[in-house]
Amino acid sequence: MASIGDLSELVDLLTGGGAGPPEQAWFSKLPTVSGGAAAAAPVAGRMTSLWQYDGSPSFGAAPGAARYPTNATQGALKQTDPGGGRQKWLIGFALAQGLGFGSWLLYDRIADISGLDATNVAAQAAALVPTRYTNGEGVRAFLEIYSQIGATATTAVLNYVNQDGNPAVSPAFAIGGTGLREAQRMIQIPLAAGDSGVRESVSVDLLASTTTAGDFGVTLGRPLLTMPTAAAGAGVLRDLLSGVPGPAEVLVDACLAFAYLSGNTTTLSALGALSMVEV
Amino acid sequence: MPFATLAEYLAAVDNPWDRQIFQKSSLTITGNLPSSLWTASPNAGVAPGAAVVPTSATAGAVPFTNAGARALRVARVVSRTSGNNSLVFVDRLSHQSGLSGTALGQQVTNLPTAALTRYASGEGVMAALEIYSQIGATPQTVTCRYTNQAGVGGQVTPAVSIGGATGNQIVGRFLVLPLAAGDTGVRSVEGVTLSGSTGTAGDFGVTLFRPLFLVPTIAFDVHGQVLDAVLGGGGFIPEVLDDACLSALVISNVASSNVVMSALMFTQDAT
Repeated sequence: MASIGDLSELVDLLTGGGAGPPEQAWFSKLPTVSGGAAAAAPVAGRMTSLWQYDGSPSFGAAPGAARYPTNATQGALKQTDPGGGRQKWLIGFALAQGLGFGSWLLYDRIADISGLDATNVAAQAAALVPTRYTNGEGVRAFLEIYSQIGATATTAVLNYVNQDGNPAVSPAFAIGGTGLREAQRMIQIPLAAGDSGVRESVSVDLLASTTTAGDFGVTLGRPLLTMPTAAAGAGVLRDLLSGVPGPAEVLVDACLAFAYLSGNTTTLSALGALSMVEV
Repeated sequence: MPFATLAEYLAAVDNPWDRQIFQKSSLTITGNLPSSLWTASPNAGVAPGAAVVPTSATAGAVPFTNAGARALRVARVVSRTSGNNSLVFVDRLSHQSGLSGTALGQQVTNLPTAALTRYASGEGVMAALEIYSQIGATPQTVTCRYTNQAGVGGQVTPAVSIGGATGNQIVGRFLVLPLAAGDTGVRSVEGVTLSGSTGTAGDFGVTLFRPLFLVPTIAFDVHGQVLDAVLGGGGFIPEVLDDACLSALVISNVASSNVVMSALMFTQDAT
């Protein structure tokens, strides 16, 4: 595994002296989704998926059948793959947003599926077998809502295969009702005791109907970076070489995407960039 | 040639190729939404009118000196502001104005945008609608017909809000346009269509731009923001192309862009 040896090597890489070019991937996010529809307002304390948000590069679509997104998938940040057997490393992140404040999550969206019914209380197949982070270590599962589900709060569990290859069942987690039914809502699925990742997703079981079918699914993602915003109007600049958690590898074909844990209900509008080098 | 060592880089920073001050007085803007400082004083730019490629010599641009054969970069920024905001420095690649907030049907006045002379493929180039004279208070939506980074014409941006009393009508408002499914850049814009009249013609136009670096404000008026692109700055040290028209966007949490003053230190890559 290659590494950035020292600051001299870093400077060399950043100014084009490496075998692979440095890359700054800029993005914008607007408070509309899927080609102009109004995005659901963020809910304080709830995570919002920015996958369908309009912007540059363009919005992503609900997956439908099981899908294994890459950097070519519509909605991804579209960074270039490293060449020549090199590794790509995320070394910086910058973000400007206005009234919103909260925490951004950058993750590699490695698998997703949608089309699940929030009125169906039978086990709903959600088979996902990712091709990146294949041992599942550090992979998180999320329940992602693409079309609003019902107002009746209930719970659900995810049946999955853990990082050791063993079948597991998540603790029950809340779904449906205000704050957990809106489109673009992204619900973090807890892991069973002792587990540290999800190797495969198998199925979702709702305890009860939420009373509206809507459209939801399972997303598997490998978190790469969290970026808290200190206050409304304050920007974010993270240098991963001098700060935690350190540079993050961006795998070949990585589908970089964002989720947002909001501190208020202000609709999101943002402009930002990732800084990456190849070693 | 790139900087081979940290010592080379620091030597270049200690003897910068150029130093420029970017200073702007406060503009009334819309909190939470990107606004352009193009027309803010001092060194105010103006509505471009006919489609044109702006350069470092254009009024409103940061007037830096080209580096010639060697790459030029902004290595350090010292910035202070009177309020919470973030600055995004951009290269304005092509702009025009003369579009109306009341015209129905596709508007082609002063379009298509002037052909890009920097980042000519359009890859990574973003597009925005920039308001130079206030348009109306009736909210509408707007779409733009454009040619994407692959040279495919007839692409249409998803609709975004324009006009209305929510701040999408005031001078300086910079509506960054989303792209059609699968696109990653804009090579040119050919037409703009409002869903209806905003009630006031005003004047707005298309700006094609490439973001270069961002200066976030951590807390206003407490201290300045000192950023070194390599040492703690996240590695954001893109090349500033010859004749780049450097200006800035601002995103604030209040209805003011606040007074901003940024010192930009340009370095020239090693021989």
